[in-house]
Amino acid sequence: MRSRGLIVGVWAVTALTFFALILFVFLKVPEAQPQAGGLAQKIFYFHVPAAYALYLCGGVCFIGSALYLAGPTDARDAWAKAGAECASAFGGMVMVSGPLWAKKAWGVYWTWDPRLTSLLLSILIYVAIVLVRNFMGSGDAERKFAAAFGILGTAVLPIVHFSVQLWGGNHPRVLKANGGEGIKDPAMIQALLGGFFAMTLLAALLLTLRANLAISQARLVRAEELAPDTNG
Amino acid sequence: MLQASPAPTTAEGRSQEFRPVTGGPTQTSSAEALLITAYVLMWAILMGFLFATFRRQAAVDKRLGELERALPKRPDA
Repeated sequence: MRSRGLIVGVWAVTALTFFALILFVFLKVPEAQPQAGGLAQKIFYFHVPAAYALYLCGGVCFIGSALYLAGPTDARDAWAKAGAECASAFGGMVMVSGPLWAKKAWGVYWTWDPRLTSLLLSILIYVAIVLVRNFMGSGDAERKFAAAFGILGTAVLPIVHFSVQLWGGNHPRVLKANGGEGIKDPAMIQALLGGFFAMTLLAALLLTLRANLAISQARLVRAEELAPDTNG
Repeated sequence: MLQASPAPTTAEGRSQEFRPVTGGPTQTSSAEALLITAYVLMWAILMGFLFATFRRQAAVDKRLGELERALPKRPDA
């Protein structure tokens, strides 16, 4: 009962934070220079935190998968599965928002830039885990296969993160400006930090929801094994 | 005002020639439209994910309840 109250409280704080952040981004944060997309640059305050949330969920998937391979339990598998599902959802958010900004700043929705290509590969690995778990069942072999994929998917994330420094490309690097000025306006920095805070809360909530769902599904499979004649 | 020579009327014409125009639009995409589309799509993905999660959780809880009621009671329970 107490944990339910805590979850409702975190949901309320998350919703209020997002509401305040949207108002702040649209009303207070200045427009960026036209080369950075002008008004479309405001996508950045949710796009970058969503990518960070993808990293967080990928990290949870990695830890859950590694622990599952070391010693299989339903809870470890549930967190690995939840990590992959949430990473796919945040990956989807990144993949729809980024190209819409790129259309304004670069003139094209997509280019085979090292950051974009490596991120797409990483997201496809998480989507593959979700598909395997949804369409191939939840036997021990499938769980181990997905866990191995979960480790692989997260192993790609450092490549995604450092791809801009390693291989250049079109993708901006304003967070750790290399020769440029980075983000100069205080309101822009506040909006970005607000985005990171809101997405951290959201990622924690989504991970908890999906892990609880996966644990319930595992309980259901075991209960159905005990009572095979109640199907339907 | 957009000035253009007569446009080709056939598919072959459109694919085999490009005619210059003067005074055409300098911007091909609106920043406002892209910004709003990005926010709408991001929230749609999030809401869809949440809706699917709650729906599936409700279905699993319902089935678990049915099974728990159907299972024979243990003597020590």
